[in-house]
Amino acid sequence: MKFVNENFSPARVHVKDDSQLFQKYGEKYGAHWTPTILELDSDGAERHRIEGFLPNDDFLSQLMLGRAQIAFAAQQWDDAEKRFREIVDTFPNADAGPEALYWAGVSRYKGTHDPTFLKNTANAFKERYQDTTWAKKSSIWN
Amino acid sequence: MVGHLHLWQAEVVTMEIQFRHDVDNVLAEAGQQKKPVLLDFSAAPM
Repeated sequence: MKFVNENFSPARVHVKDDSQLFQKYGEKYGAHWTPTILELDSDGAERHRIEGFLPNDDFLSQLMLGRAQIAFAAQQWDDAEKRFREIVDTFPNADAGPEALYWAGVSRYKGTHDPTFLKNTANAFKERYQDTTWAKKSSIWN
Repeated sequence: MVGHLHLWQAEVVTMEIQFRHDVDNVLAEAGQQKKPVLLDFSAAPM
């Protein structure tokens, strides 16, 4: 999977075959179910979590969301916005879409301190994803 | 049947990833290389 190999160092802990590691890292990160996939920043801090099976498009869009959140946490605003918008453009119907649209707007605002971008984001939610939590969260920016 | 198909597809997706199992080393190297880590807790057949 090209996206993973390009963006992450992938590691797997198998519940049976790596039982000691599973106990160690399962406790450290609170992983009590499989599959659980964590996206960690380079310091080992959890930035995104995927629990349970997802169809391919939803799975990949969630991985992309986590990678964007890692950029956001590192205050790499341009990179974060680009990554969030790529999710909206590539997987507009995935569950990650509205969350990505929200954080794309926040990333732009954080990088510019221009509140216009928050208002623009709220307006974008009038055109799509109207019935989502993220539309509600952005409504205050209007 | 649909559920089985989806599980099979998921296996194909994750099989393409070159997972390492030396998690301690992966995390240590990630810190040095400033590269994020994907940590998969799995019960899938290996």
